[in-house]
Amino acid sequence: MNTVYLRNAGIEAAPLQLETILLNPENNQFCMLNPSASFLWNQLDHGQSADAIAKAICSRFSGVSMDIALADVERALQQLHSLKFVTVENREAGGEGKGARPPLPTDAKQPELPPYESPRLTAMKEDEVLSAFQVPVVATTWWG
Amino acid sequence: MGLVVTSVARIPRTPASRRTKAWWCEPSEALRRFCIGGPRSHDCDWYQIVDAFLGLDSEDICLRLRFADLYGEFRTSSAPAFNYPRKLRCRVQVSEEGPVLVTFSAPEQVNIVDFILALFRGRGYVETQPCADDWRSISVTGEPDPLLSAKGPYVLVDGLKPWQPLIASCAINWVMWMQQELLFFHAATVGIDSAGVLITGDKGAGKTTLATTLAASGHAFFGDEIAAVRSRTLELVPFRRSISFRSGARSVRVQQLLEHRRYPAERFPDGRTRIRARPADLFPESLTYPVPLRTLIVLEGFAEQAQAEAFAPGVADLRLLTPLPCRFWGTSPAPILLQVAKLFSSVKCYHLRSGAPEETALLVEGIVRAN
Repeated sequence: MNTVYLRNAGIEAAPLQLETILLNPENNQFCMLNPSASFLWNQLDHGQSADAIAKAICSRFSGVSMDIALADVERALQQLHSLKFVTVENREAGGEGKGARPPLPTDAKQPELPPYESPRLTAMKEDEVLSAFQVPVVATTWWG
Repeated sequence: MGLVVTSVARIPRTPASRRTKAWWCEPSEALRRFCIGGPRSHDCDWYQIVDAFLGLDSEDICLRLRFADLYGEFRTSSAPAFNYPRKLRCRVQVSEEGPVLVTFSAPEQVNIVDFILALFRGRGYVETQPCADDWRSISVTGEPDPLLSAKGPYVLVDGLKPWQPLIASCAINWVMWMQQELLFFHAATVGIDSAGVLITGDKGAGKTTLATTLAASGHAFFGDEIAAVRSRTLELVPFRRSISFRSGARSVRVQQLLEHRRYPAERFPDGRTRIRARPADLFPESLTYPVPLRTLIVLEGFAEQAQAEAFAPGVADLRLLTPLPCRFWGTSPAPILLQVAKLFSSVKCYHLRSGAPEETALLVEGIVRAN
């Protein structure tokens, strides 16, 4: 049996340049993902094992070994699971999602890969969201 | 239905010091002196502010005229249907002596004291110890007497103080707040070839100059102060409040248009003079209908020559465009900021340093047409 991770279907996501913002509308949990966490999130549309995601990370970023990538991925998936952004399924071995992105073939010309930074999830409470985005606290008076 | 203002006289009021007992000590008694729900001597002025209606039913001439001056393009001749869910009626009654009574009626009531304290934080409004049960009062810091006392839909305001800006601001913010499917920003907006352009930047960054220069070149003018965007469809909706021109750079064509008619000049508390003009008077050919938002321009100061640079927005850029505070009142900010992030990821974004108005407008025109 393989443990695979899937996106919780109710989660709303806003992809930005390299980062992603997630929102669980059920509890208004807000979370910001750095580039490697965004990449991880994008692997989860059809369900993926931590191992397959770690491999994909190694082929997408430079300067990361499989051991480190796997440890980081497992930690990030745990966090996403505890925040209810992902669900877990046990599947027959080989039953990973169709959307698995295989590493580039070795004879393909490798583009320069961005440097690796561990996946980082920033879960925010409501007041933290407001202060993080510097929402103005004073309304215009609409008179002048 | 026009503005009927001549039949109502403003009644002089006795200063608080000459009254036997201040109205805020017995607000229920002060309220009883008004004929609540009684006949009115004038029409209610209805304003359609995007999808919501604001009815201003005011015996105070200053408030009615000022509102008509600022929001004249929102005036509508028909009142909303009885059961229309997004409407606010603001009835203002003046009394021979004592306070002004403002009654806010809406399908969903707002606690006006909490609303004011939340939205106008930093403006010196503080809640004071109430004199009477069930009433809550707000004062301006340093002033001993309350500016207003409120209970349910009733707000008693000290008519000897400048109360109109606060009441008008509450009303406008309330109708914006009730439109949860819209995002409102402090930004100028135009339509170029049916593509919406949102122009943001700090105060004095040149939003009005750029938007009016583009409008004077024949593009659709949507507003210079408030932008309204439907969050689901990212459609830009006109929000054409009267334009307030500061002194400073403006295009030759806009200057000619301003000189063509006599527009009123107003002196502001900061001592500066501004010219006020209705968009429809200034740009009568400018058509306005909702268009998809395609481009976001962030104004970042001035240069010898106009310069624009495309950028792919990240999380840190979200603070460049934050919705107006009324949108956050009584609701979780997280879904709203997600909508803003989706907006960012759906449009082309540019940092822009303004040059001469005409040159800057040409640059923006080129950017929009190239996309």
